[in-house]
Amino acid sequence: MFHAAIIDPKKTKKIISLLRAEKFIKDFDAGASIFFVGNIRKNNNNKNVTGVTYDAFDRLVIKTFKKIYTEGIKKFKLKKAKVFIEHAKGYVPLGKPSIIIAVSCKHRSEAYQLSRYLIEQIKMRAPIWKKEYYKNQKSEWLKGTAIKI
Amino acid sequence: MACQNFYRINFDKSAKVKNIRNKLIEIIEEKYSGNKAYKDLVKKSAFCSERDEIVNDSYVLNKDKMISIIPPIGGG
Repeated sequence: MFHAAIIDPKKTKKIISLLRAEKFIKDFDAGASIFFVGNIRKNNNNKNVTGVTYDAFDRLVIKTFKKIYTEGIKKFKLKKAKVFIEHAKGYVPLGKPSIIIAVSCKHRSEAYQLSRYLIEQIKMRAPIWKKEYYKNQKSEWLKGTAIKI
Repeated sequence: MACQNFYRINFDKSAKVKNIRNKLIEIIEEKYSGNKAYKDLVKKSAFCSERDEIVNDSYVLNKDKMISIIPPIGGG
């Protein structure tokens, strides 16, 4: 089972949620649940960050999430796994989550592997951009890296 | 780029993504004094087909086909 969404509070009236993630991946056959939460951190490149605005090519992001999930299931030969991925769009203040990846699998080793695989691939392949805001009132779009084909 | 919202680029026949990328670099050389940051942006950008698929530099664009540019990414 798989769930993926881009959550823009201005449009959806909701924020990405660990509670929703927990509910989705709950499975009595799964002995392990892993929750990865990416938060806005205070410092980046020696600059005091106060928040980040995310932009995304939504359709391609969801398609990419699904593709990465399918690859992960195949790569780790998982017969049963539940995966929940939500990424924020729009402004996210310091300390708040920008992404949640929740995974439930039969055993912990595969849950750890799949969770790690998902976030690393998302970082390399999902068309999402970010603009950082700093304490000195300045802001900038980050240079980013070439998308991995 | 600057105050102009778009550039019109004409190709004689069909063009490959590679041709578009090279043409954009030519424009940067001519109109933006070869600005390195702009050129890096073009070099590191990916291209996406109408079917929402990332395509490589050999992808061919025929008449009326659309393509979008995906700048370097930084999500997660």
